[in-house]
Amino acid sequence: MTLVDEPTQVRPPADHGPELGPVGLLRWAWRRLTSMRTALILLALLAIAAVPGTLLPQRGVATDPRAVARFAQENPDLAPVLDALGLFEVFAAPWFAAIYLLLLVSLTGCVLPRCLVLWRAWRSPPPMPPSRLEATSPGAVSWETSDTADEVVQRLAAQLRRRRFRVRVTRAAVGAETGHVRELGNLAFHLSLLVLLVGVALGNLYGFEGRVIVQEGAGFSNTRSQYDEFWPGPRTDEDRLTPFSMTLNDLAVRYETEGARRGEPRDFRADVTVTGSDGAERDTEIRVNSPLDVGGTKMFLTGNGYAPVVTVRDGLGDTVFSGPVTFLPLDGMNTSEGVIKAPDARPQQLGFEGVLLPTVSSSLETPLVSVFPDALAPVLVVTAWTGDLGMSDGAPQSVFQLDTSDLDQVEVDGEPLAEGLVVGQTVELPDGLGSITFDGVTRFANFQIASDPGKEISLVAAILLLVGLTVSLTVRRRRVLALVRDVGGHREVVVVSRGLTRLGPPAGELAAVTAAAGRPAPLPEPSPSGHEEPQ
Amino acid sequence: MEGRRRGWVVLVVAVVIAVAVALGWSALRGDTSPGGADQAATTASADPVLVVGEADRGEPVALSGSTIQGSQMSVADLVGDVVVVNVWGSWCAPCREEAPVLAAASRDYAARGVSFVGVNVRDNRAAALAFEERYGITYPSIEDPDGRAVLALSGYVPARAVPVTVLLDREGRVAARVLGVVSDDILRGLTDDLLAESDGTPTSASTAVRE
Amino acid sequence: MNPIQLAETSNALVVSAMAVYGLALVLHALGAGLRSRSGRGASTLPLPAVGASARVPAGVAVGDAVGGITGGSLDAPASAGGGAPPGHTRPWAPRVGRVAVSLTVLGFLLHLGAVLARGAAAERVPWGNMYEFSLTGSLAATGAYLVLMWRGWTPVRELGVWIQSLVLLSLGLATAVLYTPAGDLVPALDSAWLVVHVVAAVVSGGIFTVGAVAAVALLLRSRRGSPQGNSRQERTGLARLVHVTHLVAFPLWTFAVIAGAIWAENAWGRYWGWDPKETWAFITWVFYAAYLHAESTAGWSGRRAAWFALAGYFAFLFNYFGVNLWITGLHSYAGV
Repeated sequence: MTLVDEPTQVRPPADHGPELGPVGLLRWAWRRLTSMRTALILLALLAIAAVPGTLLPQRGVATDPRAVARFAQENPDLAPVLDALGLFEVFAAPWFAAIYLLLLVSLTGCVLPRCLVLWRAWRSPPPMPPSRLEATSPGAVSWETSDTADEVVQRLAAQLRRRRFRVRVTRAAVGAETGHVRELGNLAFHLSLLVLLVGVALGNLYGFEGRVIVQEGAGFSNTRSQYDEFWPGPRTDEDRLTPFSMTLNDLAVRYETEGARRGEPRDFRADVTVTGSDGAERDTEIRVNSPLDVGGTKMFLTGNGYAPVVTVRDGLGDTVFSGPVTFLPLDGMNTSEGVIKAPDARPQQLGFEGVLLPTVSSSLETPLVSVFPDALAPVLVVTAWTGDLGMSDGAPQSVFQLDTSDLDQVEVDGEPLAEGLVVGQTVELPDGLGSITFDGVTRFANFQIASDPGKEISLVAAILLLVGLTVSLTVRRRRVLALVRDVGGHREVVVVSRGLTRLGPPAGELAAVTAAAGRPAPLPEPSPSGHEEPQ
Repeated sequence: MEGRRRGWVVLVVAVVIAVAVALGWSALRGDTSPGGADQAATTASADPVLVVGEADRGEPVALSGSTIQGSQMSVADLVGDVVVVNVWGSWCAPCREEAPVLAAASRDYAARGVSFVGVNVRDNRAAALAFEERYGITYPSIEDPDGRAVLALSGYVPARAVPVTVLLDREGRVAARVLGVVSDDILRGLTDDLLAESDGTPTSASTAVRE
Repeated sequence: MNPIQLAETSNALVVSAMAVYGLALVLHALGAGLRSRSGRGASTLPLPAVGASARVPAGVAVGDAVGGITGGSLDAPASAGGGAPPGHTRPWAPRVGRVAVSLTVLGFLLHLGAVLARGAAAERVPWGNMYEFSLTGSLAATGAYLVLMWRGWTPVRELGVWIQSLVLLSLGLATAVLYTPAGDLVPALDSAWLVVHVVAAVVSGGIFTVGAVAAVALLLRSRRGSPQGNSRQERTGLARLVHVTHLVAFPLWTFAVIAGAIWAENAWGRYWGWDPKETWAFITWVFYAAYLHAESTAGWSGRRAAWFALAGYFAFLFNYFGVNLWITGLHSYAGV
């Protein structure tokens, strides 16, 4: 990859004859790889290669963890092929990495030699005008003067220095150059991409992401076993997470209550008490866009839902479950579902599947639906199961699912029991199996916890990238060359401005410099080619 | 013409090398695809048993809180006994597998200077008590709804999973840890070693354990 | 005024702006048609109305380049300045063009009023859902067009028809399909970064739109060629316009992406997660980066480079419409 906007500097054609030795062959390959054309092709490939990553479900992309499995179920023939090609993990696929790594190699191979060139250019003095600098050459301004050559040269030099040109003066000539910083910006831009890669790699290697659901009144401590889901990097030290604890005192949720956007969420706020590693407690709040930060580990409020509080009594009358149960929301009205397991109920284990409707309409029409996401008139619909919940054989199971394979559904008059309960209501199960009471509703919060030790490096890289890019696209590298000479009894000044970049020198710069150096007005404006403002 | 053909060869070689590098890179990145949504994080570690030699043990464990039975307790009060700390929850299926082992051992060792302490994580009291009644567990369990007790414990020894069992020597220092379901053999072997330790009888804990 | 009145005022202003833009569009088209029929060398009247002289050395007037995209005849920009024989000119051709531009300015002011009223009605920045993005995005496009006119970028003039059409289309879509009543933000958008990230994306989008229209014009020109012989100069002018718009818009877009990444880090705990919106922003960025590199590659500058610019614009549009409407991702909260 060469540098942006430098059409004058094109590499020579890289194809040499057939009589290349192995070294020549390597050199040829290197040249080809670092050529702009290769870089362009790689850029286009990179962009195109990213497309399937947005059209096909991806593993490890946060939105829906089950999307890939569902896609595979719907397309049983296609999915294995796509999977083998890495199309469900495009951004971790070797071929995707191959493209950007080749691109970065190409970029480095191009940029490093440019660093050397820039270094040399910076140390060498600006070029002087050729002896035959013509008043008729493009971009030239000339006038006659009675001042001495030295006066004119000094005035011009002073003007140019004030405009931050590097100026070199001889008795009757001025050479000035500016805009090297453009190249510097360009190098900074390209090298920042390498720095960015380092930041990303550090984050991937040593960082982690995790998720946890916390009910109101409960809490979370930052240790591995507290996470519901945890994705460490290959070098993450899972046993030495930043120690802190958090108690969720209250989760405040507010919804739009009026108008066309009724039901849209307006505010989520988690009031928490945090205990740091030093044991000091503090009360704070976690909101969307306002995370908790403890020593670089951040905790984000990413979602919420309801945890209906239920009490289950078994056939012997003992309370075998009493507390909130996390129900996962299914829709915008927060219709939620979950399961309640009472494996220690006697004489038989009990399991319940429940659907929570936070606000049912007052007409109580069937089927019941939730009409508002806030819990204004909640109804818990339960169905019940008895038998073996499958928890005694030691295999871990989801707290959100009931394995009904060894269970019998509780029936009333030959129909499955399905009872809608309002708060405070109890349903007695038939045959003395027990009962379930709907005590009330609390909330839970979803938290995302993340640590990325590379993010500061990435941020620095991003700033470097932006600054470098802006400089390289706006600064114009240009030269001003001036000559004072005697032509047949009078003294003539010729000043030429030459752009070394596509945009050319800023409009009016030459006019202003020469006017201040004694050129009589009005200016016979030269041909505008290369100036920004077409005329 | 020949140069052109050779050019293609070089290009192909370059691409192959790049793919090889990329494969290495993605291997380095590791498998970051999400795991299951199970709350019960069991260990996949090859050797879940960790034994700390007498010379390498750290500070005495400070672990205290209110129990699900409603009283206060502190592990520090048990110094002089060998202490078995078990982290569990009634929702955790593997905990049910090991519960009979712990219940029986706690009865058998009660008179031999061994105390058992539970840490009940993310549970509700009714369910936890029903669990204890079913399995005949009589030792106290610290109630830990926000993980503070587990965090305190993991300050002394890595405790990545539920269940996890940690054994403290008579001075209250971490002497052994078992991630995941603890078997009767291992539990009794480790306990016997710790009891023997303070008798001054040297034994090899690790050989006793890893068979 | 209370919020409801303000919201109604905003809606009325949008409709008025659309009416004025529509009229301007007709006049732009008429002007382009007249200029193309009046032939080459005909209309070279100076155009002082857009104030270009403020930036150009005194005494140099801004020429009135001629020819619509469909026309294919344009004067060499440098030869303008009142030197052409007046007899060949249809005197009202440039006047029609001037009125069209004036109407565009009027429409822009109404449009700006609509956006401001919308913001006042919602008591926040007026870019919180797709209706508002479309409203501000088309305002930015018109603004970019007018700024280029004011700076004396002659070739942009003949693109008026097309830019005006896109703006009208965008506003039409906004009011007919995407309309959402003014209201509070969802919590996910309630952040200071909304101001920075979205405004950068919207403004760069406006400039990209002008650049894309110019790129299409350039490609059409190059394909047809021009029997009059000065098409090379037209092409140079257009190619420079394409280049300059992207020189401005690309760093702005880069900034939008970086600001988005910082916001994402603050909202979700990771600055980059290959969410569809992020990925398409990346694709857009890569195509535009390729465009700028192509511009400085021998044999790729101009026509071939323009294809990259168009690919970038397509990715930008897809990111806006496609990702918002068809693909589920973390950015799917704007309620359309």
